[in-house]
Amino acid sequence: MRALVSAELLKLRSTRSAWIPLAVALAMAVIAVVATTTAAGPDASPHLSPAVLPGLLRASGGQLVDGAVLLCWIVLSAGEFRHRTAVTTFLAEPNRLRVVSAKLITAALTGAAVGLLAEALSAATSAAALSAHHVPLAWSQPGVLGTVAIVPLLAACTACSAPASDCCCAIPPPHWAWH
Amino acid sequence: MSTIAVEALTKRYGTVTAVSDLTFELAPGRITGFLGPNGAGKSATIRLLLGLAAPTSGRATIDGHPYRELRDPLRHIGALIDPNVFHPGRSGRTALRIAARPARIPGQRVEEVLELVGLGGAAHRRAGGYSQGMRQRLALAAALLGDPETLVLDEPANGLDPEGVHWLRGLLRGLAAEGRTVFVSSHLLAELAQTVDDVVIINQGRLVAADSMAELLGRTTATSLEGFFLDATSGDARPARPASTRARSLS
Repeated sequence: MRALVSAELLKLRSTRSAWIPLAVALAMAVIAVVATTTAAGPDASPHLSPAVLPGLLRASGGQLVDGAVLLCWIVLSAGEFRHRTAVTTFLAEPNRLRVVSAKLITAALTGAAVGLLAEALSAATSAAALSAHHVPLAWSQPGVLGTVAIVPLLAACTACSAPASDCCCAIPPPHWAWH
Repeated sequence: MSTIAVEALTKRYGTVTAVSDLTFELAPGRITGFLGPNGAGKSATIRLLLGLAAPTSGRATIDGHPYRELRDPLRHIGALIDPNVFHPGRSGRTALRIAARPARIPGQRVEEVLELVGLGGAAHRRAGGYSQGMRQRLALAAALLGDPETLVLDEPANGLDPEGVHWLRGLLRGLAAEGRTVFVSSHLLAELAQTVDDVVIINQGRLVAADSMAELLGRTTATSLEGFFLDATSGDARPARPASTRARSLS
C-alpha cells in the first residue's frame, strides 16, 4: 500500500493543474487575514480584539481549503479518466479496491497537510497583523485549538470524497478505459 | 519460462459476443503474431488476458494465474495496449516513475528502459509534446519496466518510422532469444511475417488458426501470411479449423 500511495503522491506532485487550487487557497489564507485586519482597527467595526483570533483562523482556513482540496482531487481523479492513465494504474495494481484505498489515503493526507499549512499561514499572519495593531495574542482562548484541529480534519474528509466517487467506476471492470 | 494460456475464453457484451470459446497457448522463446480483421476480438482478448475485463466464461492465465491474481504483475508481464495513456503534462521520465512505483521498480531501471527505447535525451520533455512514434516508444518502455518474461504488444509498430520498425523488429527478436514470450497484435502483415515465429488468427471472436508460420503456410495454397490471412478471414469463406486449436504444445 505504501508503494501505491507513493505513486499517487507523485501523480499529485507532477500535475500542475491540481496545484493551482491549493496555491490559491493558501494565498487566500494570508490575504483573508490581511484584508480583515486592515479593514478593521481597535476603534473600527469589526472591533479588533484578542477575541477575533479564532474567527480569523476559521475564515481563512475553512471552506476555501475544503473547496481547494476537493477541486485538486477532482482534477486528479478526472485526469485518470480523461488521459486514460488509469490503464497503467490498473495494469500495475489490478486490485481496484487497493487502488481506491491508496487514493483515499493520499487524498486524506493531502487535505490534512494543506489544512494544517493554511492554519499555520493564517496563524502567522494573524499574529503579525494583531501585533501591528497592538492587540495581545491569546492563543489559549477557547476556539483557537479547536479551529486549528478541525480545519485539517474537515479538509481531509472533503478531499476523500473525490476519489471515493471513483469507487463506482473503478471496482467493476473499467470499460471506460477502452471506449 | 513464462507462458500464456487461453482456455475456452468467452466474453459477451450484452447480445454481442466479442470472444467465443477461444483456446490457444503461447510458447516461450518465440514471437507470436495475433491477427484478425477489425472487430475480430483481438483487443477484447488482450483486455481479458490483462485483467482489464472479466470473462463471461473460460480463463486466460500467465504462468498459470489470472492477471488479477499475480503479485507485482509488471514483473511477470509487460503490456503495450495504447500509446496514449500518459498524462500530457508529465515528462516521459515522471510517467515511467509513476508506473514503476507500485511494483517498487527502482529509478535506475526507469533510466535503463528510457535509453533502451531511445528516449534518454527526451525524457525530461512533457509527454504531450511527443510525436506518435515517441509515445509508442514510451509505452514500450513502460511495458519493459519490470523486465518481464512475457510481453503483450498491441500494434507496437504504429507511428514508428521505417528505422523505428527495424529497431522494434530487432528488439523483439532479442527479447524472444532471451527466452521471453512475445505476443504481438498487428495489422501490418508484411512486417509481421518478417518478425513472428507463430501466428494466432481469429475472426468474429473465434479461432481460425493457431500454428507456426511454416506449418501454416505448408498446408495452404497461399504463399504468404497476407494471402493466408485474406483467405481465412474474407467474406463467408470460413476456413476449416486446424485439427488442433493449440498454437504449440509447450515442451
